[in-house]
Amino acid sequence: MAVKRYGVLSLILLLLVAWQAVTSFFRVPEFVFPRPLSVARALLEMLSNGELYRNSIASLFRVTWGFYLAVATAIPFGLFLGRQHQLRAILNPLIQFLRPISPLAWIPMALMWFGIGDKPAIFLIFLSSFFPLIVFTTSSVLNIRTTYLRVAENFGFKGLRLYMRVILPAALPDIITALRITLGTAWLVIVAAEMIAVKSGLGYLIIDARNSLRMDMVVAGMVVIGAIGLVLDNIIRLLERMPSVEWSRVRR
Amino acid sequence: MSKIEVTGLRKSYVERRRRKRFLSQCKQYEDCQVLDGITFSIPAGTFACFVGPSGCGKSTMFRIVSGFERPSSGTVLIDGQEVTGPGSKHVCVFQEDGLFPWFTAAQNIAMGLSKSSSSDVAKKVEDYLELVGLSGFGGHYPHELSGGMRRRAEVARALITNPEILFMDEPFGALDFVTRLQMREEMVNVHQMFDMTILFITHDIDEALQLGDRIIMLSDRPSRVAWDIRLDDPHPRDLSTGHLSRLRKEIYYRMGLHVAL
Amino acid sequence: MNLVNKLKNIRPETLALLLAVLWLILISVLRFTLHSHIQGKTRLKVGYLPITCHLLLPVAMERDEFFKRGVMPVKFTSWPDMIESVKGGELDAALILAPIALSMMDQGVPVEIALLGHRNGTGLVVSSAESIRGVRDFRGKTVAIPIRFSTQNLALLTLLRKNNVDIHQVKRVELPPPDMPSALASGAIDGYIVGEPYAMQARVMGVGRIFRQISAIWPGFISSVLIVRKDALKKRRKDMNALIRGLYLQGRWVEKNRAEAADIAAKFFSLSPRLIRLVLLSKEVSYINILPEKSEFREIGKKMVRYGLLKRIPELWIYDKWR
Repeated sequence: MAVKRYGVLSLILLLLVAWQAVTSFFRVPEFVFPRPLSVARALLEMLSNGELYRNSIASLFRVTWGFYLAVATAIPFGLFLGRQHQLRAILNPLIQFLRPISPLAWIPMALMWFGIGDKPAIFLIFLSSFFPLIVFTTSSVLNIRTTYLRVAENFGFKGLRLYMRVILPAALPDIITALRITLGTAWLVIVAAEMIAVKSGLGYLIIDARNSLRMDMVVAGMVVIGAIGLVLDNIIRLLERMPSVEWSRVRR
Repeated sequence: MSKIEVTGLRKSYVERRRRKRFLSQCKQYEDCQVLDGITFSIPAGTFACFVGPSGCGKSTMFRIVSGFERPSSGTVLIDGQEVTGPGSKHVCVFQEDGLFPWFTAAQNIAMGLSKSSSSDVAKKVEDYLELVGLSGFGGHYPHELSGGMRRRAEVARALITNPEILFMDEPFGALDFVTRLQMREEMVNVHQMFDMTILFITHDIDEALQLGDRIIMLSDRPSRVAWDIRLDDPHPRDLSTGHLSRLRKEIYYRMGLHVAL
Repeated sequence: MNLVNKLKNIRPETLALLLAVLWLILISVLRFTLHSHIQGKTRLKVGYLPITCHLLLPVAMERDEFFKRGVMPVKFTSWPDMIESVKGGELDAALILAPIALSMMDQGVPVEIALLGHRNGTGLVVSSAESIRGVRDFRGKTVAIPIRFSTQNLALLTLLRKNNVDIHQVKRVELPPPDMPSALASGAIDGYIVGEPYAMQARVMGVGRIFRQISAIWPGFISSVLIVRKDALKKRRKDMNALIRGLYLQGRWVEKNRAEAADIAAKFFSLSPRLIRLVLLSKEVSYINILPEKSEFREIGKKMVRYGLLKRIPELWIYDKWR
């Protein structure tokens, strides 16, 4: 564990040094690729004037709502669809048709329907998570071992009790993996979503820095986005450690 | 009246399901009739063992008799009633692990009970854990238990419902030899303690000989009852001498295994 | 102590759910305490881009009491997003390129033109590589324009046509203005035509020079106009009039106080003050004489029809009742 941690840290350090060295040595202009030191300065500047905090909160707020709405609708629906073979046969083509459409393609629509501000961004995040989550959840229900379903039938599990005590827990390990993947995409999409008409957020921070010709701030914004993405992934990975889902890791 | 009454059970997959998966399997076997008129009747309280060559349709028969599948033709009567689905009075222990891995052993066993006060449940679960020799393991998740312990927990989960019939489909097939012998002993005890009918499928002829009051031998696919044996030897049984040893030879012989002994 | 024990006894699933809900509450509270000041539905929402053509808005925000109370400027980074926000009725008014305004009228979007952003303030920039000396040298070159529906595009086409250059021989690409100087530096494009300060930017960065100021191509050039939505006009005529009048009056002040105006705008747009000063002090931009005339827009419309941006000149809506 310690070896791994030091390894990662020294790799980051090495990359920073190389970056600084290469950009200084070849005299790469700041507007082409800013040096790590100026990026660090920009980070400090944004940290001290509260820009970073304010914009991170705005982005996290939108991702949270969009993602939660998707989770709250897609998972119950996906669980249900996984058990309803005829309904699935009807809806599946529609879902598969909508799924590959990038949420960014919805931007014009989102602006027209929801105006400017948080709502279109939340809507785009929702879209980016909703379809993958439905597909993942449905397929994880289909992958539940027949024996578990037979046992459930044998012990008379029905209705809500069947979903809460058998279907959901059996599908949960796969669903958690799906949550990890979709949260990653949601965080990807937020930057693009905030490049449309909002006045805050990390995506806005980047586009605004670009318009002000501040490449150092652009890169600083990228660094923050990467860091928050990493933290989000680590938080959601904690779910994998719940005792009731550990079995899936043991079995593999 | 007998507890389980099976008459003329036939099952063939071609005529009922035209799914590609099954069709390809049928090509392989050319004939997908699995069961060809199985008939037997088992009185209440019997420990009935089913043996037969691998792939002969034992599991198919098991699923039909326990109500998870419908036969193509023929009837299954339990207490004179036609079986239409799995019932709470007839509990199955399947070939694969049937414990819910997301529940602890205790939670799994408690599943068999419904709507009692929580202290009652806890106490009863503890009793059954003790019965199968798992005292102190209630809080463990299935993946933290050994294969034998998982089977015990599953048996406990079945027993706690106080079933009239216990269906077991090669329950000890995946266990190592010594554990399997231990489990046999416990099954004998369980059968003596509880007043229930056990329908036990196995590919292990020794197991059948040591456990069964009845041994029903199925033929190769499409399978039918090839031999129906009644045994009333006391437990524990010694298979190396006497008529049990001869019986074993005879079963092997009838299964076409001349070199086995 | 008791609480700690209780927490330990909570099932992990419940705990996860609990924490997830707490996070939702926390982030929402943080968000709304931080951003409560932007709320306020009564303010007029005005869309703009950080370009000198839209400089009157920040100046008015700084100097006009009505603007401080009653106007909420909404910054955009691209024209298409602003177009959708106007169409969706999210904005009450917007500073937008004149050809876009005309195209909106053609599509039946209920908007009227109330004011011009400014006059001139656009430059045709070519790479300092000196490969383009005369207009004919544009043949086979790539020139960036902000968007097809811009007078910059029309001006470029007019210039080429006047010099008998086949417009199909010049490759025009649409680029966001901030990207133009670096695209020029990297050699991806050979020149660009754009509103200030992005023409000046090429000079400051030393990657290009002004080939021709717009006043030499199209005297009295109009880039953006202030459009107002008819429904907002109907409901809040008084406020709208104050908005338009405020911008108009600031134009006179800017004309005389260019350096000061440049500093205000630079801060508001978060652009370099030096750059904006350079633009304003060059006197290539003008903030007076910004009342819209139908004839000028008919001229723009004619050009749009000629270059296939419109099928016909739509009915032109000019709002002048505030004067």
